[in-house]
Amino acid sequence: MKIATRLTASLIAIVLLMAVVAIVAVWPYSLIVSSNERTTAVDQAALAMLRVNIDVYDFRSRLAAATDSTDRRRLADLAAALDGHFQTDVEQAERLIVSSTPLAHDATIRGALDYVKAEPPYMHARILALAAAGDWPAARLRMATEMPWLVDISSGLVRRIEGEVAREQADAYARAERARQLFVVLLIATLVALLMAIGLAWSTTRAITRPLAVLEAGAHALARGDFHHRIALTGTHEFADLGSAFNYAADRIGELFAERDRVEEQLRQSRADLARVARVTTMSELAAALAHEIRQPITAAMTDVKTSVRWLTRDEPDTGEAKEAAARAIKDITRASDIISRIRSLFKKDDQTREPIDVNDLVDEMVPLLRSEARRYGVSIETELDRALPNVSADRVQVQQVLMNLMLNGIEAMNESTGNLIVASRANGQNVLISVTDSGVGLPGDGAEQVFQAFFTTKPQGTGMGLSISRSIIQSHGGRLWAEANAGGGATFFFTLPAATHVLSE
Amino acid sequence: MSRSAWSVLLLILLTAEGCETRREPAGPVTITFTDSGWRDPATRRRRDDEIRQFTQETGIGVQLVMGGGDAAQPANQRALLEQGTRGADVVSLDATWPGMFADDFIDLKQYVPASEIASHFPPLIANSTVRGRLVSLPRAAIVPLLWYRTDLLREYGYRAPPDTWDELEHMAARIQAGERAKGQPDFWGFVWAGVQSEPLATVALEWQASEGGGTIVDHGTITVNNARAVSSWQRAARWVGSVSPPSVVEYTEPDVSNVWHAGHAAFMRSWPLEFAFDGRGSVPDECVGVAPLPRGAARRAATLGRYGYGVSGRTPHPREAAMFVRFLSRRDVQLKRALEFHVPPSLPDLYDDPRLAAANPHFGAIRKTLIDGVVARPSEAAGKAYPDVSRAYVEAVHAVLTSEKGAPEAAADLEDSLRRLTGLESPRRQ
Repeated sequence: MKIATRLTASLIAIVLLMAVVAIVAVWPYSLIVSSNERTTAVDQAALAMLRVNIDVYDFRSRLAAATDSTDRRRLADLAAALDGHFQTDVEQAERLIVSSTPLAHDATIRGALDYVKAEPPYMHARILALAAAGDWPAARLRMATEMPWLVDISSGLVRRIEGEVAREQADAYARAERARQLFVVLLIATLVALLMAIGLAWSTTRAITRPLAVLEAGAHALARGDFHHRIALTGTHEFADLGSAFNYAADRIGELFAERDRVEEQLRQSRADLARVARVTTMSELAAALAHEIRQPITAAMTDVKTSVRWLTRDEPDTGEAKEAAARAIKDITRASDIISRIRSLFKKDDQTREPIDVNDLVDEMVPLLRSEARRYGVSIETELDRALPNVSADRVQVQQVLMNLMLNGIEAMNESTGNLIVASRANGQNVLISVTDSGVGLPGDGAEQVFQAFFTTKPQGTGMGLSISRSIIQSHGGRLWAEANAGGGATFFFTLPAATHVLSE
Repeated sequence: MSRSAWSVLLLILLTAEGCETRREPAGPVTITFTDSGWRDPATRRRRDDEIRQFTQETGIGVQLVMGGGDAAQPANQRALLEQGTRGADVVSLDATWPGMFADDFIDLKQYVPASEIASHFPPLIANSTVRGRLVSLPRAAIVPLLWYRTDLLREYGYRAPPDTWDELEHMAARIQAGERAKGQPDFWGFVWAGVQSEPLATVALEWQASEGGGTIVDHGTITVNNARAVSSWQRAARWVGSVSPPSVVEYTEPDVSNVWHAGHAAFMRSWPLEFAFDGRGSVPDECVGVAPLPRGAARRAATLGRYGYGVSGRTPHPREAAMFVRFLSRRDVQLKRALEFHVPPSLPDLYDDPRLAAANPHFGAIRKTLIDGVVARPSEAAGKAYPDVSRAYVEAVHAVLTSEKGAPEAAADLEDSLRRLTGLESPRRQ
């Protein structure tokens, strides 16, 4: 059953219970009250009738005295008494009898009372008429025959109503006894009603709190990430609906989380793959330049070695010159070896290892690598490095990749002209700021941000991924990468990396 | 939850069951009943016996509604009848009521077999039948009689009661004079009810009808202003203060009865109900004689009294009420009533029963009256206007009796009044 229906039904049931108790309470009370009213009414009617009967006796003796006296005026004066207190008394009795339930419906009583009310004035009028006609004997006879009937009916009426009083009293006693018994019923009814009300309230409350507790436990489980938690609520009530909705939602969220993890893993893998691809691409671009770079010291070393040989194979070998030439050759070969080892480091697979590094070192390593490539484009590389920089916590290889990417971009941007590529570093609050400034073609008119979009490229053989990947690398280090157009042409690329202390403090 | 709801419902039902108040046991029917003569202990005793017997036989209860008596004018009874719960199921009907209230009572023909109806005195059934409906069933033959003192008649040399009004007047005057001479200054020859109310209508109708002066309304014409009626009233006016006391114009029927039973009169015009007043007065039973009313120049006329019961059209128990009415007019009940309480039966053949004749030697006068000529007040012709007709008639006759008006003048005025009241015409003068 629905909670709303249940609450409404409970409320109605409790109100009904209260009503029943109220009725049960009113019942004995009304029994006693009505019984009292009836008895009192009958009692009063009996008293009033007694008074009427006394009036009738009084009327009889005064009428007898008047007829015996043969005094017409005295007889006529009786009318005043009949119009006065007799009429008042009899009307009072009539009123009380009519308002008394057990008497009002007794046609015999009403008929007899009508007679007692009408007869004295009528009898008086008849007797007065006979007396007026001078027939006192007829008047006395009339009185003698009619008066006993009047007295008989009047007294009978008193007896009849008094009998009713006795019956009513017996009835009242019986009703009081019944009311007393009903009081026990009232107590039981109150108790039963109370217990039922408590039961209803308890069951209704439980019907709400128990499913609520189950739902709460479910919500907590969901918050913990336990997507396998199930709400076990059956029935037709709202909580059961809520429970199944909850279970469905938990299923869906679980699926979504699994999907997210899978996509994230894929993304991470893709990004790593893409970075390597980009790096390889960049490396291949570099290869030619590097070959030249390496060949140069090797050629120099070759020349030196040839010179040394020449010095040794001369007719008079000059070992001093040869030794000097061999030393130069060693120096040149060492330089070539250095270059090779630095290149190798670029091809190392990245494992996302963070270590405190000095950005200036990276620049210092990178500049010689790119110098010959720059020279090919007629570009000179300058550095403006702040030597008092704090270390940054970063993956050396990745930051190298970014720096190399920016510098190569700058060099290529100055393809059509000659110029300077300036790599600068400085502290910027809690960050280290590195900028690469060229005087090349500059940024596209649509805005600096466009160049960071994937597959954006101006180069015929570019992948368009370089800047996009670079930005994601810097962002993964908690830094920012952006570009600005220079006032005098060309563009500057900035990136920040948090200082190591700052990173550690987080 | 639904279990709790059921429990609540059950509790309510149980309580409601307990609340049920005492009901009248749906047992035997009790009908209500108004009757005349309810003040008199002997009549009450007799009726109580009959009600008890009826209830024993049928299981139907009967409650007597007191009321009526002298104060009960037709209008009051009419009101009683119309008061629904206070109106009775079975009602004692005056002879004028069938004509006035025919539509307020049920047609008893649907409950009483025709043979049973036919067994009553035909004049009673005729008076009870209005426009083909039997409005009341007779339970007694209530016709006025001339009561006389057998001892006095013997004493003054009369062998038989008077046969004509003139004889009555004559005998009354003689006996009155004789008795007064014997030292009874309050003795009177003839007493009758002359008070200005309905009984005077019955008396005056007898005077004028027996003289051939009509029955107030005859065959759709008003018959009061004629020489025979006028002379009959004049004769009665002459009695006042001569053979009848001057106060007779204030006498109600009880006064008439009182004076006669006290031994203060030789003749009385009264009802057969007097038989039930066993030895009430100072006149010994053996000195009481009864005869049909004297005849006039034209006929013998006795006005029908209250003789039957009807069933109110408003009764919820018409069948039971009709059963009670049939019971009250039943042969054995009437016989018992006649034997023990001297009530004259409405069944002619009962008068041949030797037991009845033995117990009631005077009942011959009743049968004779019913055969010889009863007269009915014109309630059927006047209908609802009868109380006004009666009032005007009584007023006119009373004015003649008290000499307020001359009889011809009173008759002419009455004729005008009745024309107005009924819309009927007087017979064409010849």
